Formats: sequence, C-alpha cells, structure tokens
Amino acid sequence: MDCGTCETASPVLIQKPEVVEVNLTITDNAQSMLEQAFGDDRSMALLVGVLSGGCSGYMYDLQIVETTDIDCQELSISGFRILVPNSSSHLLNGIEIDYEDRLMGGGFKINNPNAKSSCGCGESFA
Amino acid sequence: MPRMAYDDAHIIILTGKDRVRFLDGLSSNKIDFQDNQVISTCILSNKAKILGQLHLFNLNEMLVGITITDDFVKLVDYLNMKILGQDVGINDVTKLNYVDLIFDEEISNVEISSKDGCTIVTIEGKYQFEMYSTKLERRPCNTNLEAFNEWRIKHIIPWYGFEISSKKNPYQCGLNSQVHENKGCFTGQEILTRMRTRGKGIYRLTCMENDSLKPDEASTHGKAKSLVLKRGQ
Repeated sequence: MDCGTCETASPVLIQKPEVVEVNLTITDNAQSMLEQAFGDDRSMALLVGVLSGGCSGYMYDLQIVETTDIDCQELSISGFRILVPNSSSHLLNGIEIDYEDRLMGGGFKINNPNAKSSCGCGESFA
Repeated sequence: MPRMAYDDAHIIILTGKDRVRFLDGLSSNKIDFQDNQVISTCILSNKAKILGQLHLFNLNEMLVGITITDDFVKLVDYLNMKILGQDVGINDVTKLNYVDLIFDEEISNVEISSKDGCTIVTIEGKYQFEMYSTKLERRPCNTNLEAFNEWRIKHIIPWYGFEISSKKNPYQCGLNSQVHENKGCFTGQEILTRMRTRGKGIYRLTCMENDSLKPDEASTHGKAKSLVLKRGQ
C-alpha cells in the first residue's frame, strides 16, 4: 500500500484547541490533602491535565511533578504550584478541585462547569 | 477468488508515540498488538453509538486503520478533538490507495502480508482487504455487492449500511466480538457494561430462511436466506 511517506500524503490538520487563561479553585479539604502530600516542600507541583478516553470521552489526569515537558500554565493557589497544560486549558477553566474523604469512591474530585456529563466514577467527563 | 472493489473504506495512518494509548482509550476493543496482528474495533461516542469501525495493524512505526464509517469527516473531527496535547498525528491516505475486498471459503490465515506492492489484511480469518497504490493498475474485480452479501449471510457477518450504523451501539448490531469486556474504561463503556450485566437491549445476528421471515425483519436480504438481528444474547 502507499502510506504516503514517500511523497505528500493528505495530513489531517490537527486542530489546536484555543488556549484560555485558567482560573481554578481548591477547596479546604483538598488543600489539607495537598498539605499532607507536599509537606513543606513547595518545589513540587500538582499537574491537572486531561487525557482522551474514559467512559465519557475525556479523563482527568492528576500528577505530582517537579517539572514537566508539557507546555503548561503555572498557577499559584494558596501557596501550591498548580500546572495546567495549555492543550486542555479550554476544558479545565473554572474547575474546583475537591477532596472527598470516604472509604469507597473517595479521593480528589474535579467539579467541572465545562462538563456536560460525567461517568459514574467521576473520573471522566464529556 | 471473488474480488470486489471496496471504495467505501478509508485508510488512516496514525503516527506519534502516543498513538496506541490514544486509540485504546477511545475504542471498544483492547488495542494491545501481538506481532503481525489485526485488531478490529469500534470508535464510540459517549452514548456508545458507533462512529466508525476500524481494522488496525502496525506498519513500521505507524498504525494503519482501515476505516468503515458513514461519516468519515465526523469521525476524524472526533479523533482530532481528543488528541489534546498527545503525540499523535493522523494522515488520510485513502486517495493514494485502492481497496479491494476478497472473500472466499479458503483464504490465508496470515493476518498481514505484502506482495507486489499490495498489503493484504485478513479479518477474523474470514475475508481480506487488499490495499495497493493508485499508481498501480487496478486489479480486475469479478464480483459485486450482491454476491458479497450472499457470502456474508452464509458466514453471519454484520456490515455497515446493513446491520451497522451510527444509530446503534456494537451490541445492537452483532459486533459483540469487538467489545472487550475487561479492558477497563473506554468511551461508551459504561452504557455497554450496563447492557451486558442487565442483559437488556442486546441483539444477536442470525441467519434465517426467507420463508420464515416477518416483513421488514431482515437486515440483509439474500436469495434464499437473510440476516436478522434478534433480541437476546
């Protein structure tokens, strides 16, 4: 077959989503958990990203990192470094990061005003 | 062997180091390649409706998808929207290739092979797609859709435009084998899992004598037998 690598194929133009300046909030419960996770070391950052997939089409991706190669916006909220990739900024503007202390289904939760729907476990949204 | 020109197929090529993970998150079957393997899967909307059926295989550092859909632009837009910051590129090489369908009682079990500039891909050991450059002469085709449908009826194979459509999910059109039950989250999974655990809304594809058919029951009409989607697992 002709895979188009030897000459001009028809590249599908990758649509770069619009980059928006992200505002987000972190609830008191979530801040307490971040205090426990980070301790006094504020060189670490919470990376809040979005991946494709999950039951509803997009999945949240939370990581604690020192640095990243991803093109990110850096926010400082209550002394915590928060990194948000520009590629998913349009999906994360206005979110609230919460923490639910429950035996089942507990953990960090994202309340997202951009989500039209989300799956039962709350990890993915559309 | 019966050969039919199949111009409804599109061929996309995915590049980039995140290509497999990207597609695995969006598709109903598990994208976990063994050597020289073809994986058939569906890309689903978040309502679990079929946006397209993909037959995927590796070619060098690329992932090739023979794509069957009733709205190619919509499917590509959907994939495009989900790339976000991942290292994934999509190329549409449909216009560079002819696609023929080969179907016979005896076809090779080799899943992927190349011969005389032609890439041959065997789907579930039953039929083959042959793809070759449009710079080559088009190979003579010796059969038509009617004959292909007769063969499909005999082998109970669902097809786009007959059993499969963008208004259905895989369990409503006999594509159960393209839903991996244990792979974890993928778009549309919650709905399919609910259907499976409750045993509701699932259809199976069966072959029936035309004499025993109710009006408008058949999804594919044959001369003596037809394909019918029946409720129940």
